[in-house]
Amino acid sequence: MAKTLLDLIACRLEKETGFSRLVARGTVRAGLQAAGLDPVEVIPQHMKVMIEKVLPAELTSCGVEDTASVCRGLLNELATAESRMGKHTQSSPDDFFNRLNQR
Amino acid sequence: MFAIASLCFIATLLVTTVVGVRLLAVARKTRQIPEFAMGLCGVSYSFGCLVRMAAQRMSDPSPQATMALIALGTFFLAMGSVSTGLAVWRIFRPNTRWARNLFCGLAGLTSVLWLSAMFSYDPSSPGATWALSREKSLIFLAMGMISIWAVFECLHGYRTMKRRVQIGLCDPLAANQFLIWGLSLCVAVFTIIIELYFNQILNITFLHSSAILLLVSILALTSNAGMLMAFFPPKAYRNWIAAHSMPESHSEVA
Repeated sequence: MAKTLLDLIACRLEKETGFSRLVARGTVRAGLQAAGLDPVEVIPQHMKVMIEKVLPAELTSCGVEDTASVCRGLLNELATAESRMGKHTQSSPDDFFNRLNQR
Repeated sequence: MFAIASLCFIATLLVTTVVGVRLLAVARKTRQIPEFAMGLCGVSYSFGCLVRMAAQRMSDPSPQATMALIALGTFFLAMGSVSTGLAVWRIFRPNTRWARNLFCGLAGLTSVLWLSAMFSYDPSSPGATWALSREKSLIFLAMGMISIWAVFECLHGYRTMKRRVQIGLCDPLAANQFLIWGLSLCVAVFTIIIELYFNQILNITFLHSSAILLLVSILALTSNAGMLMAFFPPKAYRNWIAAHSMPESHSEVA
């Protein structure tokens, strides 16, 4: 059973592309790293932006042709997971400065 | 030179106090630990410096009174440093076990060293100077370790946030604030190293040498002015960041 968002998205990517588990996880991790996100603490909202803006380029570099369709599948998986997990309130380091800058 | 050094020192204390009080005011509204911890750090640091300065500038000090004042001053400096550690843990890695353990370890080490310095000092022994004691320098070393951790987290945070800025997940201003905070802390670490060098290697207390006091004061002022800029950026700086940061275009899923 998938435990983290990374596992969940990697599992779906494996099914969508035929990648091995290792390659699927590596691709998602590379996307997260390029987006400056922590694979363990990533929240659904941030994962969504990563899938939309960073992952297509990662998939293209891995030879995937229909990246838009693959990413749509991943976004659907994420939406299902998000509704199951509920709203996340995990903090991000920039929250500190965002609070200060709002004053 | 002493007058300039003193002015720099007073300016440093003022800037630190302003940063501390403003952060505490923010913490009162947000009820968040990082703001409170950084505010406490600013206020403790300026109070600690003031007390230590008073201790070493007393006209006719008794060894006991000097020792009590320096111990009190060092206590507040150490408290400021531990508060920084608390803020770093809560801002960057609130859910990470090793960060919690590192913070508890460094806070515990600082407390134990302060207590050890308090009880090992014998004012009646000839030539005893608490200000130059090895224990005090060890406290500064522990404080330096907390600052080095903070520098690492800030600069690492800046690198991460810069990537997030490119996909619209982070405000460019916040990313730059991490950089300024990290650089200010770098200067603070350098100041601690200089103080330890003069204290332990050359046996000179910086308050007894105008040149060293000037150097330390300028470094501390630079560091604290950086903190002020990082935590409360002026409008011109905000506008400059807004004008110079355009997110890179990424291919998006239709």
